[in-house]
Amino acid sequence: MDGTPLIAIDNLTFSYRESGGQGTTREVLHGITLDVQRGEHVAVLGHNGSGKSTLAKLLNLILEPDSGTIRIDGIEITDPDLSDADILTLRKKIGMVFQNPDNQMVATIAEEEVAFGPENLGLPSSEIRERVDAAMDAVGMTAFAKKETARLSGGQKQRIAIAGILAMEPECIVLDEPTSMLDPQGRKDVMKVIETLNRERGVTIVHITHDMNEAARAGRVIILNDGRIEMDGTPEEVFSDPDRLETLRLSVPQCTALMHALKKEGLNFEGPVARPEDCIEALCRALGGGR
Amino acid sequence: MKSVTMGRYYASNSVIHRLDPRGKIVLAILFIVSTFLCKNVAAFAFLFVGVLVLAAVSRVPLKVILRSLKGVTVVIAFAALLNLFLTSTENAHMLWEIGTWNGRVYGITEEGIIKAVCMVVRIITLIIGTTLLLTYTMTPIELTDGLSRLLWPLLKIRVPVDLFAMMMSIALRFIPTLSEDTERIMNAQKARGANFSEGGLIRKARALVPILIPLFVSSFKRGEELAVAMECRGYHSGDDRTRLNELHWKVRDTVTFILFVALGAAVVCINIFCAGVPFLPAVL
Ligand SMILES: Nc1ncnc2c1ncn2[C@@H]1O[C@H](COP(=O)(O)OP(=O)(O)OP(=O)(O)O)[C@@H](O)[C@H]1O
Ligand SMILES: [Mg+2]
Repeated sequence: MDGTPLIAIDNLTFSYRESGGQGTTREVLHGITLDVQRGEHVAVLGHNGSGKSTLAKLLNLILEPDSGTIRIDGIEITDPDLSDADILTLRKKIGMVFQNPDNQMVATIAEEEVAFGPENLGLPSSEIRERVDAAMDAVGMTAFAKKETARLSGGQKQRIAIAGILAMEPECIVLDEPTSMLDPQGRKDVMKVIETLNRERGVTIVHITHDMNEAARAGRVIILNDGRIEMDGTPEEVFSDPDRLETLRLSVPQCTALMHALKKEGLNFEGPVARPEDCIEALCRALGGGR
Repeated sequence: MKSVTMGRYYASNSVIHRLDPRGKIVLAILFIVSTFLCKNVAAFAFLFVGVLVLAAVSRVPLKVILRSLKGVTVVIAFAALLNLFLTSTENAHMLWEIGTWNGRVYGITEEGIIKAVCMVVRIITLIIGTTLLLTYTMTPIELTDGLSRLLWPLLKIRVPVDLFAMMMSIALRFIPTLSEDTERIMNAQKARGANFSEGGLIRKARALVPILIPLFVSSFKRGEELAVAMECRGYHSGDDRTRLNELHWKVRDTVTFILFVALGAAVVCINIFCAGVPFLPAVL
């Protein structure tokens, strides 16, 4: 690649207008600077109200920043004389999946739901058909193509929502707590889809979540705190200091907590771990046996 | 969960089911016009047989079709009685005289009976024919789709047909969601001691307020989130949107169309040629 990051945010601030008073505003993002490279899998963590969803909406120009710039693929989207066509191109590049599957579905039939994005792009119907079938296949929902969305489970709805974004062939998918309303099986299915997309198709993933175990699966974890980036690094780096996370009203993944507890008891490990499989490996090594 | 979305759609793969929705909408209008063109018993009989054939071809069971008539039995009975008793008795074969009032003789006449029967047949064929074409063999989505595409030319004179179509399909999509919401809110209110089944009309209406207000609030929230999600997926109104399933007018559509037009023409012919044969004054 040429090295220009897919998403380049520079000193971004944003305020919401207060609903009560006239013209009063409240700044919720205070100078965010952040680059996301192509093909990265980024998890965004932060307590309730830290500004994660706001940041996500700014990326897609649903909200407009007060100051600072956002460049997507080198194009400055904060430019005031951006044309409608440019905005459509932007929305094609960055897809969004939201928390509540019921509130983001437009169509009654699953495949028509997936087709909604490509229809907006004005593609010929033969191409829409190809994209819909491919997207359905990618999320493992081909068998449900003709089903009513209302009859699907939460996890299936969310996979359809992802397929709907995928059919627009985006470079990046921003997911805002996509698993928080799902049962464990639904979460697992959605996480698997997200990881496959990232690994096998190189789709850049920005995954906003409250689940530390999900965040640990990402290649990079960013922690937002009160509208500022507090930490940014690999899961191992970010989760290495449980006490600091505590002050940010967050926790560490279970296996990391276990390792820290064991470390306090005197067991010796090579470094911080964030994923269960690394945890097992480190434990085996520390206990002297191979696997 | 109940399947509210599909309405009374009867899933099957008959020829009628596969017809182009645009065609079926126009046919339904044509059909309504022909039922009103009927002027004598022969025409009514012809139309009635036509509807039965339609029902057979569409493979919707008679039991299901009769269910659609249940809701209008009162209307049918009312229309029958009205015709039975209020048909003019002048120059008519009186079968049972009831009495005279205001210088007018009232009673049941042969003409009255024929008229009542024709009226009943007209209403029944009207309902069976239109429900067969528009609800049993057409999903609500196909209906809005067909309707919006028939009205598409209006977009040129700035009637926002595309917006209405989008609104309709979103409304259909949200019916199950909102009915779930309603159920949830009702249960929550019941758990707090609300009573929706007792009391007079006013009390019952007042009991609905604590359901409607939360329902409105949650609908607005859903609407707001949906608007953002749609915007993110590049939604914009206008005629440069394309469709996954474009409607295709096929030979079978043309054939059925011609058949229906012939049916209408036959009704007109029967009206003309059978006029006065099985005597019947114009109904309505
Ligand atoms: N539409 C709005 N109008 C006014 N203020 C808002 C609006 N949406 C969010 N806020 C405020 O902006 C701040 C950041 O909200 P945001 O939704 O971005 O947080 P979040 O990190 O996504 O939280 P959560 O984890 O709960 O989803 C919060 O203090 C919130 O109260
Ligand atoms: Mg949020």
